[in-house]
Amino acid sequence: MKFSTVRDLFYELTGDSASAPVFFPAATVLAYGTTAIARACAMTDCAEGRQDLFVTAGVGEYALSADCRRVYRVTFDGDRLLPELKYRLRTLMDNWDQLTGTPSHYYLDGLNKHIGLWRKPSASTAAAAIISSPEDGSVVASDDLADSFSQEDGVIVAVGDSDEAFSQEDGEVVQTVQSGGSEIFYVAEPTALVNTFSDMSLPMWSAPYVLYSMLSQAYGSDTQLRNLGLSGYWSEMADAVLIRLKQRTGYRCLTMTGDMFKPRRMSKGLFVTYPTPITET
Amino acid sequence: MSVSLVNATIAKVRSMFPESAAAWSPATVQSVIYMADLLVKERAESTWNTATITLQKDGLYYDLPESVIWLGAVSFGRDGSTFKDGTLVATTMAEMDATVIDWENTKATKPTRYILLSTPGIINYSKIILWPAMSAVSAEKVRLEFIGCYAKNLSFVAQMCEQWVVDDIYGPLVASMLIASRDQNQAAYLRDRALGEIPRLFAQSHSKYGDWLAR
Repeated sequence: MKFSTVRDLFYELTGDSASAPVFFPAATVLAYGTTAIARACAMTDCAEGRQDLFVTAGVGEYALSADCRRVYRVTFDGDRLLPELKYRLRTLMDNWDQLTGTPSHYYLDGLNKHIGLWRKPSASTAAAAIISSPEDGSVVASDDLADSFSQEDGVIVAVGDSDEAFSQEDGEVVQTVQSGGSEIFYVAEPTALVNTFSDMSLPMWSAPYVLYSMLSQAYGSDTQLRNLGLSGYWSEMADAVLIRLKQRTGYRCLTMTGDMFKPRRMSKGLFVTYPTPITET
Repeated sequence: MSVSLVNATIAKVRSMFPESAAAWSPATVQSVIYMADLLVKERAESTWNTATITLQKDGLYYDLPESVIWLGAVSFGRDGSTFKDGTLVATTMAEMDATVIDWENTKATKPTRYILLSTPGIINYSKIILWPAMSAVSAEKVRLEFIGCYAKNLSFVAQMCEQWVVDDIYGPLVASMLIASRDQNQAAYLRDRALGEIPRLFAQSHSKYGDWLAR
C-alpha cells in the first residue's frame, strides 16, 4: 500500500493541511511514517529478504545486503551451512584463514556487516546472464532462445554482454547462479519511505498501525497540538495492531483459521512428580 | 438486512454526531471507514478470496498478493483450472533442512509443500516457496485460498454487510477515530464497544450455524 493513503488521513485527523502544512511539514510526516514502519519491522521480524552471493575463489568475507538485520540461514550450492563464531575459528585452529574448499560453516562480523564463509570457497560462482523484462515482470530463461522476444519484452543476451548498459525499457541484465553460489536468508530492514508514493513495507491490513503510530508521534511532539494523553491513546491503538502483526508473523504457517487467538487449554501437569515405585521381583 | 458498508456507516456516524457533516467530509469519513475495515477484516477473518499462481520451470519463489492476511490452503491443478490434484502442506525452511537433503535443488512434476518468506501481504517482500520446483511445465497452477482485505478501490466501496455490523462495529469504530482529538474518553468508550463486538462477527464467519457461538 502506498504511504499517501495514510498520510492524507493523518493530515485530515490532525486538522493540518497537506498542501500548506502548519504543524507537520511533509518531511516530518515522512519521518513519522519511516519510524513507525521501522519499529514495526524491528518488533515483529515480519519482513524477510534473500541475497544471492556470488563468491570469488579464495575470498572468505563478503558484504551483507544493506537491508540485512539478522541472518538466519545460509546455504552454499543449496546445502545449509552451520553457524560458527569467528573467535572460535581463530582460537581453535592455526591455519583457519588459509583453508580452501567447499564452505561448511559461516560466521558473522556484525561490526563491519560482513559474512564469512569457512572454508574459503575454492572456486568462483558460475553464473549465466539473462534478461529480466520489467514490462511483464517475467524472467526470460536462457533456454528460451527459440522464442521470439521484442525489444519491449526484453532480449536474450550472451554472458559476455553483461557489461552492456540496458535501459529499463529494454530489460535489465540479471545474473543467475549455475553452481557455487551462496544464498543468505535474513530478517530485513524495511525499505525507507522516499516520498508520498513509496510502498509501505508492512502487510496491507496493518496500515492502520502506521496511521496510529504517526498520530501518536505527532501529538507527542513539541507543537501547539501537543497532547500527551492523546499521544498515549493513539500509541495504545498502534500497539494493539502491532501485537496482531507479531502473532500473525509467528503463526503464519498455522493451517487452522483462528487457532492462534483461541485460549489454550492449560496443562494438567503437576509441579511435583513422584518417582515410579520400585517393585521387587 | 444487507446494506452498503460505506453509505450505511457514513449515515450511522452522521446520526451519532449530527453536526459532523461540517467537520468531516464524506471523503474523509470514507478513508476512516477503510482503515476501520482493515482492522475489522483482520480480526474477524470474514472475507475469503482466491488467487492463482502459474508455475514456472525451475521456479521456487513466487509473489503473494498484497491483500493476503492469512493463507489457508494451497491446492495444485495440473490443468490450471480444476485444482483437484492435491493440497500442499505448510512447512518451514528449518523443517526442510532437517528432513530433506538438498531440497532447494530437488525437481519434480508436482509441488507438495509450501513455505512462506516474510509475513504475507508485504509488497516486494512476501513470497511463497512452492516445493519441489517443477522440472517441466505446461499449464500447471496453484490456487491460494486466503483470508484477505480490500484495496481501497471499487471492491471496497461496493462492499455490502449486515446492518448490525455497521451499527455495532463500523459506526462506533469510525466515530472513535474521528472524535479522538476532541473527546478522548468517549473515543475510548466507542472503540472498546466496537472491538468487543468483533468476536461475534468472527463467530458468525467461522460457524456454519450462524452466530450461535456468541450467544
